[in-house]
Amino acid sequence: MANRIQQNMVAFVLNGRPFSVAPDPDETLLETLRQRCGCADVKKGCDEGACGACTVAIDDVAVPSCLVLTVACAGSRIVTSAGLATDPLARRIGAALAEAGAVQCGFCTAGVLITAWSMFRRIPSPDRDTISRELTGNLCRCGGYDLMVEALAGLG
Amino acid sequence: MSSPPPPWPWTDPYVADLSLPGMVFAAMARSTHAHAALRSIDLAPALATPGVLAAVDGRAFPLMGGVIHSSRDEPVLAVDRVRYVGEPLAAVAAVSPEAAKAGAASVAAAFDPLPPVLTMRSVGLDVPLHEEHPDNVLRDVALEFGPVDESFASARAVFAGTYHYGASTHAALEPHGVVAWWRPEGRLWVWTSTQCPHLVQHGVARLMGLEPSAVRVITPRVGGGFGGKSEVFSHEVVAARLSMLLGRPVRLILSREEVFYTHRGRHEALIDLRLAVGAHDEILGLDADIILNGGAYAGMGLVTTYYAGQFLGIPYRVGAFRFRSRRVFTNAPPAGPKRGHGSVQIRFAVERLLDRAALSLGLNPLAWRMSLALKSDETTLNGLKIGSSGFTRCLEEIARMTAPLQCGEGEAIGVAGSAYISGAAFPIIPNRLPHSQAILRADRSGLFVLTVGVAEIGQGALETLRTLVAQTLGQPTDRVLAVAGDTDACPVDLGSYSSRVTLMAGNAVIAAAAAVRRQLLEAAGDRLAVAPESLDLVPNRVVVREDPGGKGMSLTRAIARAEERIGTVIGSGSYAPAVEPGPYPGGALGPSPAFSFTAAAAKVRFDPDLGAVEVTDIWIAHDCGRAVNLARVNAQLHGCALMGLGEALMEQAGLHRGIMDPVGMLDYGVPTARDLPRIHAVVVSAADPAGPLGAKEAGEGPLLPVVPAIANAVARAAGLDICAIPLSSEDLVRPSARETPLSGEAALR
Ligand code: FES
Ligand code: FES
Repeated sequence: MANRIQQNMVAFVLNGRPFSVAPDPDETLLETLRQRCGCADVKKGCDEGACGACTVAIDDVAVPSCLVLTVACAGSRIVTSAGLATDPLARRIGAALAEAGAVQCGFCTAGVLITAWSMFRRIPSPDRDTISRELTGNLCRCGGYDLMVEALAGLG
Repeated sequence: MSSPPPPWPWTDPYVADLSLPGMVFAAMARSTHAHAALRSIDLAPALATPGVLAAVDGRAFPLMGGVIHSSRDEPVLAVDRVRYVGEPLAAVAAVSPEAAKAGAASVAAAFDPLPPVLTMRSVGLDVPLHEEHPDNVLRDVALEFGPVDESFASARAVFAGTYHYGASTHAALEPHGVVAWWRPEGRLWVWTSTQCPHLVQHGVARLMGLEPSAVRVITPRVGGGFGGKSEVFSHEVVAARLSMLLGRPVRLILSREEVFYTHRGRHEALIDLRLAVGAHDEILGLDADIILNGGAYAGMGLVTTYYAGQFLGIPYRVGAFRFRSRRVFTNAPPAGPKRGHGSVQIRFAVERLLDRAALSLGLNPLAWRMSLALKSDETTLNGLKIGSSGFTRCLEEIARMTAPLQCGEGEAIGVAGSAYISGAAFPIIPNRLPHSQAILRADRSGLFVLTVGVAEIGQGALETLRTLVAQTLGQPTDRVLAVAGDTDACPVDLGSYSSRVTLMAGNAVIAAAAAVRRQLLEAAGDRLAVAPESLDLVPNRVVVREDPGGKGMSLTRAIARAEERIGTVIGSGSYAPAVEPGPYPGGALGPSPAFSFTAAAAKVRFDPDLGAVEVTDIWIAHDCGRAVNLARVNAQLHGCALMGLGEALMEQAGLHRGIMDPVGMLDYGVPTARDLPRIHAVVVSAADPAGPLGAKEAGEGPLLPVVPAIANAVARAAGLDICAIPLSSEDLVRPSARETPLSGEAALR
C-alpha cells in the first residue's frame, strides 16, 4: 500500500518550493494547481488549450496548464504568476500592462504575464511582430492586444 | 500619496476562486434534445452516485424566469418540455466537482421528440415552441414615422437589399459561475459573475419564493460580460436551492461548453431594407422588415425587437421611416443582449445599402455621410432627443486619418457611421425610481469612500466613477475608494448594461460628491471665518480661491471640522433620466439622456483567388462627450474594434443540425494577437449637458460601425455586394458569387 502511494506521488518545484501531489492519472496540471496547490491565480477559461488563461511556465517555457498532465510534470520547475510577485522583470511587465490600460477584466492577465515573462527571458528586445506572435495563445476578449503589444514593446 | 502599486493579477478573486468552509460543488444535467416533451425525469441514479448530496429538477421551481414581466417563459429547470440542446434539466450537488459531474451525467430523463424549429426562415409554419405564441413570433412590432410611401414615390433613386447577419456570442474569458450560501439566519448570499447584481437579487428572490431583503448578491471580480451576464440564470437559482437544501455553500462554475449553451448572444437577423434618396442626396425614406432569431426563450428579446427598428436611422437625418420587426422562436439557445444590443445588425444593413447607393450615385461615401449627419439638439422622427452630436467631427477625424493613404492592388477602405444610447431612459420594469444611486463618505484619514451598486466587469466603471468624484472634490483619484457590487452594502443601481453606467451612476456620484464638497467648505469657512463660496478644494487642502497661498487648512482638518459640526460627513446622490417617452406604443424603447456617435473606417487587402480578407487597419473616431478617463475609453475603443473584427470575419454561433455549434473556444475562434490590425482610435471630446461633467458612453457604440466598415471595404476591394456577415471566403471566392464588378468603383476620396 505504502508502495503504491509512493508511486503515485509527483514531485515538482512550484514557485520555488518543493511540492508533492498524488494526482489522478488523467488530472491536468491546471486542476492540480487550482485544486491541490491553492493556485487561484491560474485561471480556467476553456480547458481545451484555446485561451491561455491557464498559462504557467514549466522549466521557463510558457504552456497552457490545461493541456499538461500532472503526472508528466515530475521534476519540473513550475512558475505561476503568483510566484513572480517579487520578480523585477514580472513587476515591470505587470506595471507596463496596467499603465497601458491592457488590464481590463484581468482574466487573461496572469497568463499574459507568464507568456511575456518567458518571452523576455528568451528574447530581451522583441519587436512588435514577435510579441504578437508570442501572445497568440493568450486570448484577451476585452481586446487589449494592441495595448499589450505597445506596452511590452516599450520594455524591450 | 505615492501612486498605488500596479494591480497584480491574482489579488482579487473571481467567483471560481472563492472557497467557503463546508462548501460543496454543483453541476447541471442538460437536455440532449433540441425539442422534445419531457416525459419523466429520475434523480435516483444521481442521488445514488458516490459523493452526491442533493439533486433538484424543474419541480423545485414553480415560477417561470424571465427579465421582462410580460414575457416570463423560461423555466429554471425544464418542466414538461425542452427547447434547445443544452437547456438545464437538473442540478446535482456533491462533495467534489467530479462527483457532481458524475451525478449530473446519471440523471435519467425520458423524452418524446418533437419536430425542431431550426431556422427562422420558415416563420409561422412550424410547431410552436410556446403555446402563447402559435406562430412562433414573440412580438411583431410595426411602427411608421412620417410619409414613407410618399417619400419612396418621390425619390430620385431607390435602393433595396436583403441582409443576413449571423449570430455570435460574447465569449467573455471568464465562464459564468456562482457561489450560493443559504445562511443559518435565513438569508441567502450569492456571489456571482454578473453585470447586474440588483437584478439578480430580485430575480433569485422571486424564483426562490424569498423576499428581496433575504437575498444578498455580491460580485467578485468579473472576467468580462459584454451583455452575456446581464440576466438571472438557472445556475444562480439552482445553486441557491441546493444550498438551501443542504445548509452548505454551493459552488457552480459553468464549463466553456455550458457558457455556449447559456449564450444570450447576438440575434441572427434577416433584414429586407429599402432606401429612398431625394433630389438633394438626402435620405427621404427607410423601410425595413427585420426578422430576429431569438432562440428558445424571450429573455430581453422584446427590447431587441424594438431597438432593431428604433435605431434604424441614427446617426442620420431621415425624412420618413418605418419598420416591421419580429423576433422568432427557434430551438436554439436564447439570444440576448450583446455589445451594441439590437442595433449592430441593422447598422450593417443600412451602412451597406448607403455605400451601394453612394457608388451608384457617384457620391463620396464619407462626404455623403457628413451631409446626412444628425446635429446637436435635433430630435429624430421617432422622438429621440439627440443632445450633443459630435458625428460630423468623428467623420472629419476619419477623413483626416485616412486621407494620406494609398490603396494598392486588391486593397480598399470602407467607412461607416453610428450612434448609440448612453443608457436606456426607461428601466426594464417600469417605475419612477432612481436608476442609479451613490453614497460618498469622507473619512477622517483623508480618503473618500464611494458606495455604488454598479458592477465592475472590466470596463473600468469604478475607475471612471472614482475619477468623477475626485474631479468634483479637486483630489487625486487614488484618494477615492469604491465599494461596489454588493446589494447589502450598496444602494440600488440597475446594473452594467445598455451603456448606462458612466452617465447614470456618474451623475449620481457627482451629486454625492458635490454634497460632501459643500459640507467640507462650509465647515472650513466657518473655521476660517470666510464665506464657503470663496473657498476651493485643491489636492490635500482647502484654500481661498483668490489667494491659494494664504489661509486655508489641510483636507484632513477640514474633514475633522466638518465631523465636529455635523457628524458623519456623507453625501448621497441619485439619478433618474428626465426624458419623455415617444408618444406611441413602444415609445419608451429607444430614448436615452444622451447619444454617443462613432465613425469608423477599415482598410482591407483582398485575395480573389483564396477569397481571403485581411484587415490591415481599423480607424475609430468616437464622440463620448467629455472623456473622463481617456485610457479606459481608449481600451473600450480597442475592444470594440476587435470584437467587431471577430463578428465581421470569423465568429458564428449558430445551430448545426439542431445543436449549438461550436461549443468550444478553439472552434469558435475569437480574434487573437495575430489577427490584430493596426488600430487607430481617437476620441472626439465635447461635453454633453446631460452627462456627468459632460460624459457619454464609450463601451458599446464604437463597435457598431466597425462591422459595416469592414464589409464596405471588402465590397470595394472585391467588387462584390456584401450582404452577409460573417464574411465567408467560400462566398467571396465562388465565381457564381462574383457579380459584375460594381461600376464607379471610386476610392474613398
Ligand atoms: S484554460 Fe487552458 S487554455 Fe484555456
Ligand atoms: S483583460 Fe479581459 S480578457 Fe484580457
